[in-house]
Amino acid sequence: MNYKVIIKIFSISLLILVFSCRKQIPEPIGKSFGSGLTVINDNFNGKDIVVVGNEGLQLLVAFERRLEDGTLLEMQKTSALSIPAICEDQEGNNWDIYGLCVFGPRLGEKLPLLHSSQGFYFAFNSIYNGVEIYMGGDVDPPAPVLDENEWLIDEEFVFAIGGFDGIPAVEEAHFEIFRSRDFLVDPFHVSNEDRITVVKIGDEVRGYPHNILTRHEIVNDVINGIPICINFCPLTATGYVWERGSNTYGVSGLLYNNNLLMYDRDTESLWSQVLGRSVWGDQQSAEPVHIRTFETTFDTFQIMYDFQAKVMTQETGFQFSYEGNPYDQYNSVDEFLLFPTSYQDNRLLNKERVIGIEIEGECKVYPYSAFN
Amino acid sequence: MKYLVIVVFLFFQTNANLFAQACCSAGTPLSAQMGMEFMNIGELLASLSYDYNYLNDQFKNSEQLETDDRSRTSQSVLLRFQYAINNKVAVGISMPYVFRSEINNSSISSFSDLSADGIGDLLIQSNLTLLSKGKHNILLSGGLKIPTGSNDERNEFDIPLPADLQPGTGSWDAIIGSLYEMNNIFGGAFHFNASFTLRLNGNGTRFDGRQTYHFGNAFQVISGLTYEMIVKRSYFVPSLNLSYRRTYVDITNGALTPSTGGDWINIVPGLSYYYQDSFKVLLSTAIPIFRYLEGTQLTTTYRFFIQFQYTLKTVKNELQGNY
Repeated sequence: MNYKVIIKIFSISLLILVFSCRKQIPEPIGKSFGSGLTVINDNFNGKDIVVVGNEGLQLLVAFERRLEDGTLLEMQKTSALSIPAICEDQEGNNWDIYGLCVFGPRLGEKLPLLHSSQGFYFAFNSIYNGVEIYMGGDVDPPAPVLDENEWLIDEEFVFAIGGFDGIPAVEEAHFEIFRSRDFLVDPFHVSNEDRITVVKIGDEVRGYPHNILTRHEIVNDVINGIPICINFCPLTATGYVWERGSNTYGVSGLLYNNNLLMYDRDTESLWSQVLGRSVWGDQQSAEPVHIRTFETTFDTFQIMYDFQAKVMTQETGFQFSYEGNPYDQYNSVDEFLLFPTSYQDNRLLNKERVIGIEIEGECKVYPYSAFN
Repeated sequence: MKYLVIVVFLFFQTNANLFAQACCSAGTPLSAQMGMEFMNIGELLASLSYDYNYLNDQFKNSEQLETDDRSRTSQSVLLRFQYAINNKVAVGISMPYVFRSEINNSSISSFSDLSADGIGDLLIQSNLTLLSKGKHNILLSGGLKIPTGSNDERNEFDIPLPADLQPGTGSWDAIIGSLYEMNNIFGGAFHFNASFTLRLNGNGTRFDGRQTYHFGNAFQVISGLTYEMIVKRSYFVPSLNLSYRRTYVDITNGALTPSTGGDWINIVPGLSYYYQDSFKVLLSTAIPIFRYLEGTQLTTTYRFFIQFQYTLKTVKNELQGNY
């Protein structure tokens, strides 16, 4: 074999290597899920949206799919095997679970965020006085939800379960890298099925276990210099992440349609979690800035982020017990709602887990069953 | 004299019942408690009592948590009348006034703490004396709690307060009890007593019937000794009781309510002063020695009780005092 043959072989190998590298998603995180995600392109209330999820993985996220430059993206399953990519469009862009383009000509761009959360069906259905269900039809809402009185909502469906800060928010959360070996041991004490809310700001990913959020409902935290409020309502299983500026939020002890009403400590206005706006006080009608987040199980989370993400530990500053779920029976008995709701129907089970998307004051839900 | 002793430690028995511990709430209304006394024909008993219950301890099951973020106070004033129709049967009525409040120590909001007060639930009851003329005495009691108290008190937002902060439960409840006593043991100055009470709660409704709730049924056993002393012609009767109470989990809209129900064992020391045959003052407290609470709950840190009682004899009866 002469040196020309050696150079040819070397050059071809180099080209193959370069070509294969170009096909890879930059900075892949995690491992292959081994099962496909379902991608639904939809239009609701005048907006084009995409909902991506998988029931087995307990993963559901939604984004707007029309970009600011007017481009409408048609999403489909990604050919990439790895998270963070969850779908790809007709231009060949791959989008991750936070709506960030991780590969393709639009690398670094973001899909417009939607006001959405996973949660129990009854929560969205009652708070929005009837919702549209994906593949399940629409309803004729009985009456407008909001008015301009002292309360923006119907106060007949506001109830008290305690006083202000009776459920204390966490102000100084502590985090440690979570590894798969950390299940059921200090400082996390979680199992594979336990749920977690995940937030990514900049390069930093943080997880907030629901066994802690169930007890505190609010965590006032700062990630990469951005003050945020992670809020979770155990009665409606809904979780959102808001920017909070210099403000902090606390638990008011009030519920609207069984859903958390928070208060901001600067103006002491009350905020409806699922409505995503202030419903009483100086800030009435104001809306928070939402942060990109998703919710899943620890099982899925550790596949995605083993060794790479920080998870909130049980060092919350409170002597609470975070083991078990005090709402186990509540969650398992479908007809059990703590307080009356303003609207209810039986199109889905009350506590069927869905993702609820609000656009211009109306809501559409997508059940997990559409993503199996 | 024997009559006096028996009446005295039966009063303690009443007092011990009043220390029944509730779960995460500030205590079920005082009217849920019974008075069990042996009485003679024509006697009219009137008592006014005050119960102060401060709940600042937090338990997760049997583990006490080192936290001070929340406290509750429950105060009750109870006016009770009981009349003996004959030597076997007595009927009575209890009328409470209830004050309740919750303070969140960690709260920095300017909104006021939760509080409510008002007339509580009336209790009507009847006692049947089965045996009362010798060393061993037995009494049965049954009562009905009537939901006369408000269960729709509201906070400053005009929002209804939680059910366990309301003066009334909104439910019709049945209460049964029994008392056994043995006089003059250990040489005569000591007396033994044992009793149980069972409270079977009905369902309460709120919000025009759109919420149904059921406070957990409760069972309590109390047993102890009293000792009779005469100091400068006055009767003092110290007592020491041990109480065990179980409260079952509350049910809201058909499902178990998290963090309700539990078991408590308390030592209940007390001291009564008896003036002549008709008037007495009773002081008592409760010292917890074991607590197991479902989930995480507030429970009693300290509690005290004072009672003033007057017994009027409306019928002169030759048998009175013949114990």
